[in-house]
Amino acid sequence: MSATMTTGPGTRPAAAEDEDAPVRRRPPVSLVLCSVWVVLVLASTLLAGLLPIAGYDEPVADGATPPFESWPEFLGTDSVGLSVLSRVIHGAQLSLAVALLGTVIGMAGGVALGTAAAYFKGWLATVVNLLSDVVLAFPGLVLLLAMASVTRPSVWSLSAMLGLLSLPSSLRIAYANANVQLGRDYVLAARALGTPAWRMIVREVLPNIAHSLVAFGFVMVATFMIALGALDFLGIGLPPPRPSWGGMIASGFDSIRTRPYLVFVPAAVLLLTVFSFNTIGDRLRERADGRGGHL
Amino acid sequence: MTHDEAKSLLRIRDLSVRIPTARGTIWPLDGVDLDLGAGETLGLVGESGSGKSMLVRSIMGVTPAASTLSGELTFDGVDLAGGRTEQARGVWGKRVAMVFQDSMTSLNPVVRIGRQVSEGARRHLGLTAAQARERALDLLDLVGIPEPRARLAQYPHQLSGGMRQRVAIAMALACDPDLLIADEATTALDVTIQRQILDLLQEIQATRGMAMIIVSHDLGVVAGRTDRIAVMYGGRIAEESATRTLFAEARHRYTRALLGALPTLDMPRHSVLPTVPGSAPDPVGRPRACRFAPRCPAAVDRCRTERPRLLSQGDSGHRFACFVPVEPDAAPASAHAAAVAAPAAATPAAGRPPRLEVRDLVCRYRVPGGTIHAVSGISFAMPPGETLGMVGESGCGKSSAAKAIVRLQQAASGSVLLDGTDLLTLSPREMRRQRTRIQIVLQDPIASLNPRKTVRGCVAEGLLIQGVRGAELAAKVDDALRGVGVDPDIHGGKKAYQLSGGQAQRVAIARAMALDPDVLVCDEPVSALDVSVQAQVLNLLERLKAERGLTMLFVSHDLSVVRNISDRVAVMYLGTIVELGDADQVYSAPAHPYTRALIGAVPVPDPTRDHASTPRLEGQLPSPLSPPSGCRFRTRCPMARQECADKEPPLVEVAPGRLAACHFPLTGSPEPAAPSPTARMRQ
Amino acid sequence: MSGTTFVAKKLSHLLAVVLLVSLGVTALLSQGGTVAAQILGPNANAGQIAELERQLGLDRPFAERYLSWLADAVRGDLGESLLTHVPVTEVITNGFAVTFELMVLGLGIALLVAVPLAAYTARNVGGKIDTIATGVSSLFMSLPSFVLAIGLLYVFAVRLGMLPVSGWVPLTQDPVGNLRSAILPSLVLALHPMATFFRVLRSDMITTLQQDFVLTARAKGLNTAYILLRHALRPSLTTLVSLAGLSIGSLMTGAVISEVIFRLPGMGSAIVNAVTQRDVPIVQGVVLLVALTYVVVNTLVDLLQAVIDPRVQTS
Ligand SMILES: Nc1ncnc2c1ncn2[C@@H]1O[C@H](COP(=O)(O)OP(=O)(O)OP(=O)(O)O)[C@@H](O)[C@H]1O
Ligand code: SF4
Ligand code: SF4
Ligand SMILES: [Mg+2]
Repeated sequence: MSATMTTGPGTRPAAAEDEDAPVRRRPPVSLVLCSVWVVLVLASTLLAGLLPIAGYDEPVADGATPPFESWPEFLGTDSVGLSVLSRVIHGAQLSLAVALLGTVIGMAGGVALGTAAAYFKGWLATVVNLLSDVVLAFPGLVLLLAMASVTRPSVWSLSAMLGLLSLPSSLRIAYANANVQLGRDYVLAARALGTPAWRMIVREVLPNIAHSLVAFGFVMVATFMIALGALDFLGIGLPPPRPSWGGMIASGFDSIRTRPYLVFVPAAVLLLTVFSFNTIGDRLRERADGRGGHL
Repeated sequence: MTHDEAKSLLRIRDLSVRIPTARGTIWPLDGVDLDLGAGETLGLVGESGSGKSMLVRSIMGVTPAASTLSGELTFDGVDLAGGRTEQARGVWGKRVAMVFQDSMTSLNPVVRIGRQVSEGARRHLGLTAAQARERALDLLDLVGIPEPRARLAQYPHQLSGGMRQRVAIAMALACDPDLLIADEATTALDVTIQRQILDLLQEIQATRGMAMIIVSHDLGVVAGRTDRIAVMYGGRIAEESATRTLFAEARHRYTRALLGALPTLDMPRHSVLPTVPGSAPDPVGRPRACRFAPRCPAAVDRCRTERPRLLSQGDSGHRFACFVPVEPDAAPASAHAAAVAAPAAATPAAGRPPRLEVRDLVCRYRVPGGTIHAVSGISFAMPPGETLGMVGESGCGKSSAAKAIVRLQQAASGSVLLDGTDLLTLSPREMRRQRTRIQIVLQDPIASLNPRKTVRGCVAEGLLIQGVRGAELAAKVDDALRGVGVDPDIHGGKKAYQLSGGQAQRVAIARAMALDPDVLVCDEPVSALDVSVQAQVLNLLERLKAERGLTMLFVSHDLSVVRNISDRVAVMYLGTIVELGDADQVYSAPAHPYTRALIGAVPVPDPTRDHASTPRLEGQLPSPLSPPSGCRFRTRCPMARQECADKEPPLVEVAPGRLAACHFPLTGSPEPAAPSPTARMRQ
Repeated sequence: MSGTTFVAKKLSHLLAVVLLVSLGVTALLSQGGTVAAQILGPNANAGQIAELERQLGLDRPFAERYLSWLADAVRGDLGESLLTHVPVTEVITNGFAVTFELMVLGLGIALLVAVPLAAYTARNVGGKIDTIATGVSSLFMSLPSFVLAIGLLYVFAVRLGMLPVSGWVPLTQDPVGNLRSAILPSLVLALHPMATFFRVLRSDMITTLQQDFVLTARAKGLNTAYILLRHALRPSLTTLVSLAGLSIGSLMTGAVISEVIFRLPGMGSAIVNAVTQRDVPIVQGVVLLVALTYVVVNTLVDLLQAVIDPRVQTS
């Protein structure tokens, strides 16, 4: 720790100006890498039709080939000779669509209800609180299972369901954040200027909680990807013929002793994607938390 | 060196602390030299960020993890700068102990008081649980806590602020330290409680003969209670001397400026305070220059290229670090204040109909466990152009009243008449229109600005709501900013957290003034600011008031500030106004016993004043959940009689223009306790 | 608000939650008359379906069906399986032991790892262990439980052959065998909560360690371990405890997945089977039970909060 420099009063050594160089902030490598991966997944999903890959239902080989043995099928083929690469790329389409749509629905609902409940308090807050407890008390996966038992899921119904199930968390985040902001003096000052309710929420509070909400949105997408994977794995997700990562893992599970890659390739892709969304969310949240310090 | 170094208990030489940050290395301490003898009391003063706390934390071995210490720091020969050595650990907490600022946060909320008080003794003195308990009992008793046995099992939140601070002192005394450090130990307390705690500290120090360091930003707190004072600025010691010498003939330019910027109870009202331009220095780096140079009116080239050393003046023990010191026989800084008379403030026109009238205003809060009666029917009227100061201890309802008047707080009943219109009955739309006529400035300037908005955006908001747009908006915003001395071209695009406290408060004032109100309510507008910056803002408010004929309600707990800025004052106690009258008269001859006690408790920056001569107010504020019957002050009033419990005294005229709510108002000659303008310390 | 009104308010809130949950699930499951059709298979005609629906009471109005179900439920009768005619309560009790053991083990493992690790890393932010633990925790948070289950199964059961691939040994029969059959499935449940618990407690501990009272404790010369345990841990537990209460939902999800993959006879398998066969009463029963558990656990959590932080009682 301290190098004790014993010097008499007034005989201090020359000031060490060179020690004042700013500590370089480590560049957020993880953020960059994860963003690259997310962009890659999104782009290849959107542009799947334009890519020089086989169709997801056209066999490219006579049977199973392990990965890294042929080009361009470097991810191998499954037991009926379908391209794993093509199926992985196409497999993201529906899940991503549902995850993104569900996030938009869940966030929009949660932010609207949460901020309004925080602002108006009273019975609105009570009702919102009760409803969010009700949804929380539903075991999410069980509810999705129950829903799948009565209707055939569609992109819309799944997105709506996921959005609804996630409402308590987005709502609580929005409520808690808005509540903190509403207790701040700048809100009091804005009220003294006669700011009406909508203007207070939209112009004063929302800009201050947007960072946290966007960060949470990324985490939500990740959570939805996991939930959809589980549904597909259990065979009650979006119906075939379009492949899905969860479905690929489920069908690979039967031959896991002989051809583990059929499980672990889609699993790795799913893991990476979820991890990336989570990490981006985390980094954004850290930035949101650390904003505006005086140091 | 006046201090015989052999006798020195604490010896600090060239002590520096550096902390690497993203913006560069900051030096909270930059070459500090200091000595403290056994049994001596040192006052350590300086504004926020000057390094006071870092200095005492270094002594206690509790500097932040990221920081690095260098230099010499020994306590009774034991090296305290060399890390957590065995010897050092035998000093920390045992031979030196510390009381922190805010007992709400410095006591653990989930640990029982008995354990918190005694655990240090158990660790250092090896007491058994039973012995520790006895010791805790003795200590609580010593610091004047009633029913100490019952307190052992209680948690901090079950005690009042003053009681908690007593617990914190008991905790620090657990191992009979040789040095007690009180780091802003009374800053969070009310003046009457502060007085009790300071007296307690002084008594304990006297009976135990221990050394003490009182850290404070308030010169008044250290004035009468220390042997020596060290003034810190920018991580360095600017000046150090015997207490009386410092107040009488400060030599460092910063010390002078600081003393001058302080409004005191005895300077003429509406004095223009000498200000220190600019704000506290950026802690990044350790320039080879005087830290004060950018703000110093006397700075010469040398000040900017060479670091002034802390040199001793002859044999007097008076040390200061300044190249161009103030001549010892120069007029005291505060003489400026008197000389620069305030611009003739628009004298309130009595007789004209009041601009703002408050009638029977009542505010309540429903909380778990009952209803808090924050404001219990207060009434007053303010003629156009008047500044009414509102003072009182924390929780007396000042802020609630101020907020209810501008309808930021729902009033339970009563009316607020602005030129005859009752604001409390207006529809939201009508109220929005009235908001151009009455505005408020809040306490914490940075918090009161939206962190996402630019300075211009903040000021524009009120105008936007009133429908002002386009070029007119831009022009009005810039005008408002210039009007408060903020250059819109330099600061207009900044966010609140990029401003200093003083700048931010100017922006907040500009936001209110942009609407060109007739009435400005200020809720503790300078309480969050450093003394040197506070003076700037007070002067600004005086100027705006004179230029625009503002009527101003000025709420503050700081009696000196209120006296300087107000025409009349209202003293509040537990939700009621107990006295109302001309500021000079109220201060010089209080009619209500509470007013007298309050004024007597104000720490005066005058070492010659004997603070023990005024009666001390014992006890604490009763719970606002169930205020006492009759006179609310009767539980603490030295003159209380049966009648006081039976009948609530009305606020009535006791002398022309003087209202007081007391059955037995004080009359007669002015209080000896209140200093006459000639009894100045810096004559 | 006095203590009793507080409790009364809390209880009415909880009752409302349980009622609304059961109402919601009944409403959801009564979408379309598919149950009878499902039972009778694709060859049934409309008359047969209608007849069966009448037998099952599915032709009555929704409100009437819900109320009679509720009335029965209050008396402890949750009806019987549409397919096997086993009482629902029996199906649930059979599966409950397995699921309950998995959830308790999972929660236990999660807390046992997360709490000490969080306390340690909060004190040593940026250290080696902190970096590793934080990184691993974000990985765990991103690991879908079915992928984790398959991975564990592949490594420990298929590759190393150390543990059984599937199946369940009841605790009463053979405690060691029980543990061997429960360890992988409960790990599946544990990892996600473990990661979230770790993160939450670590960040709360960091906040606590910045509090003034920790500085006071340091200034008293107390040693680090004592400060961490006596002063810093308890005030940091609030969020963790609420989170542990809320984690019932994610534990249940994990239980469903691992019971399916490890082929365990728990409530999770029961509900997945019931869903695929549209055996409505079983689904209703399980959902009701889970909601009740959630509500009870979270009430206990609220009480626990008051024990942890004495300030909670008064406000
Ligand atoms: N939002 C609130 N909810 C409940 N009680 C409150 C609230 N605001 C203030 N109080 C209580 O009302 C009383 C008056 O508070 P108020 O803030 O008006 O006092 P004050 O004189 O401004 O004090 P200070 O000097 O500390 O600012 C106090 O007992 C306070 O605890
Ligand atoms: S050294 Fe120079 S700049 Fe510093 S206080 Fe003295 S005169 Fe001013
Ligand atoms: S009324 Fe009585 S108790 Fe109240 S201030 Fe006057 S003398 Fe004291
Ligand atoms: Mg106040």
